[in-house]
Amino acid sequence: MTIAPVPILSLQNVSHGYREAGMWREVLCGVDFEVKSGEQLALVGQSGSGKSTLMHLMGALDTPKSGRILFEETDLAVMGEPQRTLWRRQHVGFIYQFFNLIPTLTVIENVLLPLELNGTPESVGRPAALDLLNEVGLVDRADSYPDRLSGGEQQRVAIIRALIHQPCLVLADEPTGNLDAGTGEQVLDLLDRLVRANGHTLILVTHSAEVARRADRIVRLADGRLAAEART
Amino acid sequence: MSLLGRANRRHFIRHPLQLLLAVLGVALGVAMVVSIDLAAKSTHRAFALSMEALTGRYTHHLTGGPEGLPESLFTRLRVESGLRESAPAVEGYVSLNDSTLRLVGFDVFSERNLRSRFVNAARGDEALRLLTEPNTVLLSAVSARRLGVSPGDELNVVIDSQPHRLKLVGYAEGSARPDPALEGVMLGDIATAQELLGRIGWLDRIDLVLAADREMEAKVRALLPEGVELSSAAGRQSATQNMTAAFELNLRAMSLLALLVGSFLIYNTMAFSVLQRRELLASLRVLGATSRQLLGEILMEAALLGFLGGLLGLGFGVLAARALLHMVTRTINDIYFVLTVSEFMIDPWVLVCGALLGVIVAVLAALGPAIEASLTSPIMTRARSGVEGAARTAIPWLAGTGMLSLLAAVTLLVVDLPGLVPAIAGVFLLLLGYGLLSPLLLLGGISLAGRVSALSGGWLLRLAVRGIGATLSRSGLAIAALTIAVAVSIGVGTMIESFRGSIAEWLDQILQADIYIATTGSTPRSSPPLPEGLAERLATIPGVERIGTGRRVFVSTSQGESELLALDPPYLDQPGFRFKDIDGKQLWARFPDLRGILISEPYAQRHRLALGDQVEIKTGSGPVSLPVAGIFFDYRSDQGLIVIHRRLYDELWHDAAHTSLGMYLKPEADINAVRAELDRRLTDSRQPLSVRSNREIRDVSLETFERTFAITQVLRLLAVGVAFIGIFSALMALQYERRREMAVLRATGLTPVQTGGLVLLQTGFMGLMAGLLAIPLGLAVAMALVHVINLRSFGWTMDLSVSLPPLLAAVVVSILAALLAGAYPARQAMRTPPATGLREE
Repeated sequence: MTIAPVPILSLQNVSHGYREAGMWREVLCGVDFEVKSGEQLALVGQSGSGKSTLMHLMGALDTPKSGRILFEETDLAVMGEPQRTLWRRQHVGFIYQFFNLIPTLTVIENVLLPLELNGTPESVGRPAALDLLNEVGLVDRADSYPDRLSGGEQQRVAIIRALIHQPCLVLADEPTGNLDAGTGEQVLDLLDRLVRANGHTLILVTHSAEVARRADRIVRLADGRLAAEART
Repeated sequence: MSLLGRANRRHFIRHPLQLLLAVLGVALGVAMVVSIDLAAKSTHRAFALSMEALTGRYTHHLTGGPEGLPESLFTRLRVESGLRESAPAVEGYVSLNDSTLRLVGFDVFSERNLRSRFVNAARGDEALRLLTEPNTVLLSAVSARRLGVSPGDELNVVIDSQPHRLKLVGYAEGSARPDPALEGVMLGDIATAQELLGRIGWLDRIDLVLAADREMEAKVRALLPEGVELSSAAGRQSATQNMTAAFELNLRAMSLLALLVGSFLIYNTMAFSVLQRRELLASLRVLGATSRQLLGEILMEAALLGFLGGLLGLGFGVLAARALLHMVTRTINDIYFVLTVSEFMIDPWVLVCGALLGVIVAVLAALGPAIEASLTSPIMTRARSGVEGAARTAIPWLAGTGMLSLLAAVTLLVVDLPGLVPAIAGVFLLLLGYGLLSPLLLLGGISLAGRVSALSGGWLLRLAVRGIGATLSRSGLAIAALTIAVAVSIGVGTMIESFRGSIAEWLDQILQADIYIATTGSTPRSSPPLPEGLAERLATIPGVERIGTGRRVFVSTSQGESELLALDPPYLDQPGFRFKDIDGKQLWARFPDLRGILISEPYAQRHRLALGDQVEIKTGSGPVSLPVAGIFFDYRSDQGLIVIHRRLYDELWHDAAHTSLGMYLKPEADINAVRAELDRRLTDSRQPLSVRSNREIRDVSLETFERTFAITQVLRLLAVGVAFIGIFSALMALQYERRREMAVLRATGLTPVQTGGLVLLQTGFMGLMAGLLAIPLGLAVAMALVHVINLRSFGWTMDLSVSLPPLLAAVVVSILAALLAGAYPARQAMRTPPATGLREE
């Protein structure tokens, strides 16, 4: 008998929207799906379909207007901002299209930041950070500032910053959107290798079918609703 | 340092100019507070030392009526009461090499160990030479070095406008090491001092050691003739020091004002730095930095900034204090008492407080931006337009708070609360309230300017005005800081102008005679009388129509020691004073028969006296209670003055002497001829006299006035300087923030000159708005200063005089300051290639 992987994240009837110029604009409407532990899920859809909003909600950067987002047994939707921050700090790693490295910190400092926020002293985290940088071929750039690095290099730093504190959940929002095709491929390979090697759960937001095909499962959003779900 | 701290701190390292300007803003504010404090502390220290030197172990003083104390009283005291621990003193002022020294005549035999500082002077060869050689004096070693004289030198001094030659026979400290407490003191034998000061047979004071000896005190009191007062040394010292309290408080308020403007600068810097770091802060929030951590980080940054600025400010402050010390001492000498400050004292406590003040003000100023930073959303939903939208939503709230603040300010200023602190707090609330209201007013101004620019058809102007509107949250702050600084400048300037006008009018009113002759008051307490029969002799000079007389004395009253002037004006049709609340002409007409006193406004204010109140005066005929019959405007001193008619004085004091004469010339008389004849007749007089024309007195008075306000002008300029740095810093930051917008405009076809023009148009408009907004606030500040602060500080009512040219000049200065501040950002905008701006985004 095989034990089915437990869902790490469960979205139940999630709706969300914004008030714009006095009018309510619904962005997500009754979204339901689950993400299993260790799974790689691609969230696809056209611009404005609600992908990024959904990612923000899953990363506890925001709370839905209605519905529940369960992380294991905990409902993220009812958490206060300080609790969500602490949860995010511990359990989530983010990767963005525009890298979002801290420009005033060096490469190694950027990588060490999540560890430090989680209470790991710099001296303890440093060997692991250097190992990871070595793995992605950037150990010689450890003391450089991000603006000295190419886009591909910055994204590699962003990936190891997202993984250094061993989060359960890695959320990547168009991680190759700002890179050329070749570099994008390399970055995705790296992300795939590191995520699978460490058993992280990855949710990848993309509008590229090619990128999406790398995931275990694809969830398609259209006009804020779940349009389709498919295994690759 | 934590990575979170490093991430934030390095932001400033990447923007060193912004950091420098913020630190400089705090530094200037702290420097002003520290310099004023250090200067005040040094004067206090000098005052305390000089009082200690002159008081020694003495616990009480005996002071007398108009002429002082008869010498015989000292003998009686020693013989009849057996009080051995007592010494006579005569004091006056001596000018030597442009320096004023306090000449103290002391009795070598009585001093012994009573005044420890005089011990060396009362012993050894020097003391013997003081007693046996005429016109011999001792000087403190510190003063001698400062004046470039040494024992054995002849000193050409001036006492009461008369030259004298004295001989320096040694140092007051003897062979002991130089004593700063004796700085500015010249010691001589009492007989020498009496002769030099024209006080033969009279003493200014008898100093006593009574301590808690009640029996001895009773014995002494029993011996005292009418009009002689026994007072405690400590009380007298504190009364003298209290004279300058209001003056110092005003200086402190001015320095705090600069700190307030400096705090705007910090707010500005921190607000910009938060805005510039929105993305960085959002990234940190995504990674798990809590709101509280970010709040702590920004506040820590501000504290660090405040600390750095504070440290720099301490350095500037110590340097500035040396310059200010001279100005403060000069004002104290002009208005209150003669003080020589040789020792510049750096009180560590002042430095600690200054540094702390920098940190506290910086943290308080950064509180708003820090909260803004802590509320940064991790998903960056708030674009620039969102920030501006939030700022615009806050405008009504700010305006509401501003109105409440203005209301509180008006209450504090209008309600007659005791002390000066509520009034100063009122002025600060006025500035703060208006500052909070200014974004709303600015919005109105921008809207109006938008319409005008639309009508004018100039697209660059339209772009400039809209640009300010689009960055209101930041540009508004810079405009508010400049508005406050310009308003303070208008307010202080108008106050000084009003004061000058009131003084000129007052001088016209009181200086009715053509020539004045007076003894120059060589002692601080009483002026020696004029030679007997002088008035009658001078009345015979051809061209002289009438002579008026005055007798200036210090008397004991129920309000304490007071200056009293007994006047005998020859004409009663034109009042000698401008009276408050009553018909001056009527009162002046019955002045000769008045059995009451006229008091100056500062006297009424100081002692809270009103018309009809009784004041008890110890006269030569015993205590007499007299009603206040009139209160007149007077600006000669903030200590106040009592005036009675000569007839009443004669009746109560039986003293026929005069201390001043006013010569009224016939209309056809030639004043120069009269002066020449007057000088000829006065050459025989042994008495040193001051002869001045109406015009000379007026000029000297106005010169003293200008000197008094020199320090205020310096502080006013510094406040504008701090605001200038503020607007420069704001413009630099705005420019940094808008570099992509500028790059897009350049890419679209704007020439470098047009880009620079756009920046200058914006800064010029900001200056114009600040100047215009500053006018009403400036006038309100002027009203508060004229009608409340000055009245409560010094008891002086003035007429507010407002004229258009200084107001227009303030607007022009504001525009020029803004344009100057915008010159560098404009140059930067012109020189930055559009590709750089586009790439940076």
